Amino acid sequence: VAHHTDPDSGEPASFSLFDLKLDPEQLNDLSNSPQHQNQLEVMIDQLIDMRVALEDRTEPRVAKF
Amino acid sequence: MTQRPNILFICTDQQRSDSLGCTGAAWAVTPNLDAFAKQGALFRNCYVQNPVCCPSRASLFTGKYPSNHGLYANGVPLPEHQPMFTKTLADAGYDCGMIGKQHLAPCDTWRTEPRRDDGYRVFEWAHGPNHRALENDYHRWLRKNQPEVYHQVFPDKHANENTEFSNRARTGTPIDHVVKEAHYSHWVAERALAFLQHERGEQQPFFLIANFFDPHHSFGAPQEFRDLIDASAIPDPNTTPNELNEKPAPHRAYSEKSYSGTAPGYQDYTVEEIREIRAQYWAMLALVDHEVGRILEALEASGQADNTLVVFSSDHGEMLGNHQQLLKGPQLYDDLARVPLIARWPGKIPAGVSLSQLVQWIDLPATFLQAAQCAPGKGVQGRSWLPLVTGADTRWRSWALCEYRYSGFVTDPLIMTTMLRYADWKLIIWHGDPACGNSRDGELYYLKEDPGELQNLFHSTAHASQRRMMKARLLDVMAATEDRTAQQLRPW
Repeated sequence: VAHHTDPDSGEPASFSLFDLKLDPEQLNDLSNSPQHQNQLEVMIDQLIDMRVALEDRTEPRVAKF
Repeated sequence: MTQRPNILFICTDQQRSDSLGCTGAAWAVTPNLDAFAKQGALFRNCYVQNPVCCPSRASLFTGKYPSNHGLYANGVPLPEHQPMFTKTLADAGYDCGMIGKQHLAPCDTWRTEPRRDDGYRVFEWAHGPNHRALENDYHRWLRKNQPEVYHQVFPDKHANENTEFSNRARTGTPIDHVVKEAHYSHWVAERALAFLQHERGEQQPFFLIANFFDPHHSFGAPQEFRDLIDASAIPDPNTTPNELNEKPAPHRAYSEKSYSGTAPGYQDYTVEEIREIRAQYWAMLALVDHEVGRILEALEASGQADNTLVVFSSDHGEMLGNHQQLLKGPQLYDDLARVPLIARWPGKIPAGVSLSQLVQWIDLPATFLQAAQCAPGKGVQGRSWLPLVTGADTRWRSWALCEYRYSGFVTDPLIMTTMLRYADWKLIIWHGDPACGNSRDGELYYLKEDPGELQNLFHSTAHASQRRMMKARLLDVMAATEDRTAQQLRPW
């Protein structure tokens, strides 16, 4: 979960990270756990790519330029 | 209502931010633009929202990020429902005109760009000097005024028969080298002069966008202007021998060939040939500068200069051999994403100010609408920088966004990149699954110490926390730039 901030506020977004297999109730936030930092960044990367994937590109490309 | 100003927007194609004398190119022959900058405000950090023509221009006309206006790539028409700010100005009583290249619709082969609900009284369209659409107004003008030049360059109807001719050209094409009086850039100025001299009512202001094609490739200028350039004064391209090894893999392909393999690349040229390309580039700019000088002189002579907001900018940059690359594509270096921006409005914009704040191209329509005393345009996401130049706005945004969505020539897999400039840092994401099938990678630059973007810190362990913070900021900017222009009328 990304908790967005106003990009001009100076503080970047904070995150929550849960292991739904071990923690289905989402009680244990792993975002500050040192051994989960790589996992957190992978999920940030996936969230960025997912947002781009979901942009509206339905207008057909009818020519090269 | 106080008297509304005229607005004259002079826009070039493919001009780097650092290409003028007043922006650091000591070898440039741009006396008119340098003098013009002293009379107004010079923005040192203006970013476009996409590094290629169509999506960038769509951001100009709609005031929206490419992810919102829907023209994500060249060859995609601007969706019908997207309004243009020129229509808003026309509805407010402005006499609007467009001269030159517009590119809000596909223009390959001989396609003619259709008119939209654009508000223009004058629409003198020519996609480019080698574009042989029957509706090319530059060619009409040339056939009428200099038929011998026209027929020499285009001896029959099959010659140079589409604009890919100039993309494939290794050097300037014949039409690029014609004498000044027959040149596309001269035509733009001639038609701008005619527009300025048009009789209109005392109270009717005008809006004119004069779109030069120069210094877009193919790289060639009239000999008269090439003679003004001292090629030996131009430094060699900004790069290091091993630079490409430190960059995401597609950078190597874009070094070998430009335009996704469809145009000659940096590596197809000798060092000497690259030097000549750079000399021709500044020769084209010398020509543009000369013609801009004529337009500004005519504005002065018309007595309207004091009541005219004049803005000069460009739709994106040009690699010009830097980072071992040419032309443009998914690279989001400052070479492509940062453009010149100069604005003059006597009495309203202080003369001689230089601003380092991060402004974006989508701020232009917001600024034009505010200057024209119009309500902010529907869906315009940019912000007027008039309060910024006068010092009234002290809380300007600290970031700029540029989005590439296989916007240039396509590749397999597709390439999508996103740039976030935040203060002195720049993050570039090369997107992967699920956005596209490319391998996810990135670039991170600290522009304060590395303005040439040679040192990619993305994989540096020492900069891991900065990288993570920039990714978090990018997510914030993505959320902040969603189109939420529909008003919430009630709590639920």
